[in-house]
Amino acid sequence: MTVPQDKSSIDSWMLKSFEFAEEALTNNEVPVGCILVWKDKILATGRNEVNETKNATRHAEIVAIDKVLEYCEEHSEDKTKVFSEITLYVTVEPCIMCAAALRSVGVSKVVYGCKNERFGGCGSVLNIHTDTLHQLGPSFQCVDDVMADEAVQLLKTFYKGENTNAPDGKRKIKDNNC
Amino acid sequence: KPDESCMKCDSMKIEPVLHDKYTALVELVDAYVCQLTNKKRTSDLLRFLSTKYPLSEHPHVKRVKSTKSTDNTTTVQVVICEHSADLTCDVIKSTLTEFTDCIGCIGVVKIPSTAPLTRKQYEVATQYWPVNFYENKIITQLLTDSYFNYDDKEIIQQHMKEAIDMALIAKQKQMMPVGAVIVDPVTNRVIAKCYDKRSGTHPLQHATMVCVDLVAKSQGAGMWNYTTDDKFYNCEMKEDEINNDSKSGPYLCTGYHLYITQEPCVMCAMALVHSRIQRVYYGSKHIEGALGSKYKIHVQDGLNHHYQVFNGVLSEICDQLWTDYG
Ligand SMILES: [Zn+2]
Ligand SMILES: [Zn+2]
Repeated sequence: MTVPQDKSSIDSWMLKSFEFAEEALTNNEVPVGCILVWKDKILATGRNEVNETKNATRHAEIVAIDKVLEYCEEHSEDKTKVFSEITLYVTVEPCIMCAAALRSVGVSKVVYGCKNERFGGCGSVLNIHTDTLHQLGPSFQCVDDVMADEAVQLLKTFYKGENTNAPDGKRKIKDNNC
Repeated sequence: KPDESCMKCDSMKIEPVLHDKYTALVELVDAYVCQLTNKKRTSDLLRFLSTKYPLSEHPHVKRVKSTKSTDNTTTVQVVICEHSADLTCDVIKSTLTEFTDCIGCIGVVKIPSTAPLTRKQYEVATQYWPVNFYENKIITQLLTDSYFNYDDKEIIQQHMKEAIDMALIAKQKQMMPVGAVIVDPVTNRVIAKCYDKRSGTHPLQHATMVCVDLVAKSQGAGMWNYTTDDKFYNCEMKEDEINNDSKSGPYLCTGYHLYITQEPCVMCAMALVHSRIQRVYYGSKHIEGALGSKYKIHVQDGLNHHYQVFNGVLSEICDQLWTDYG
């Protein structure tokens, strides 16, 4: 399966991801949302849940990967095969950690909204998606700049607000993960 | 009176994994210099140069170099500016007309382009041209293996042994022999310990990822489920310890140290950035490791949190964990 070249179809999947980014915002989490599309259907969704779980690795992508693993377990699907056929739509460029996680499960197509200048692993800070890493997993393709302005706008809304989970008020803007 | 095991402990080498800039060769750039024949004009010339040709790119470079020759005469050379193609000797001369009586001909020399960060770099740099050096005591201690005292090393070794014990449990279960322990270094309390479960059902459950989640569990949250059969551990913070409004309360892995038998991969290294870990000690290196081997995520430029990394802790034992695995 290839990334659909039809722009309206890409946009409509991305629009769906925004629902989860908004849900994150409502829950006082960094507003990043994603969906994992398999066989033209949404197999899993995810949004940032770092504050809720007190686990800084609970980014949208990791949450969604967890759900796919559960699905494969329940339906006795071959997880390697399923991941290789999945396209990820995420509102913000995956961070270095998530890019590595995506490779390690073998997701091969990633569509994202805006750049992640602070943590981006698909070009902004490092190129984890294409670097030579034989043991980590296959490299993946990226389609960027899909509804990027909307993604930036959501992030701005968040960073204007407060992160009540940070013990030190001064750290809230600087330290929030996305 | 150190006994045998203490001797071993004391000789244990703990290597810091520093940013490449601390081990980089001294980079040089070409600069125009002139000889100053009338030393009484030094301050006039320097005042003129500081406005006309400020060395703003190379603030560590001293303008003046005095060299004593064997017959005890002193030669004074002054840096005019960095060499560039569109700035010729003639152009420079034309700007220095008020000093023609006191300067010799203009030449090109090599000056160190960045400030030295270590004594070694300083010594190399000054062979070319005098520079200022502000010694970072901690970097010096790290580079001279004098950062840890005997007691520190014993504690480090102790915690790494706990990580090795976790790796051995993993090995018994036919899992990857990688163990991890997260410790609060202020109290030496073990916050969490676990091993790598990626070869089980969950490809993301690397030892670090699990350990970070167990820390979240210690704070009353967390995500993944574990069974008693896993033999993982996390402490349980009391209600007043996990008060998020308290400045001293635990926040993610802030202030904690991770001990892990093998160098973390890039996913795990970045998970530790997000988790605000303070320090990592690891045993074995890994070819695709992200704390020194393939990347240096802990000191990656552009990231907003950095942490300290040391390797070589009980590395022989950590290496041996892999014999007859898989
Ligand atoms: Zn991420
Ligand atoms: Zn890892």
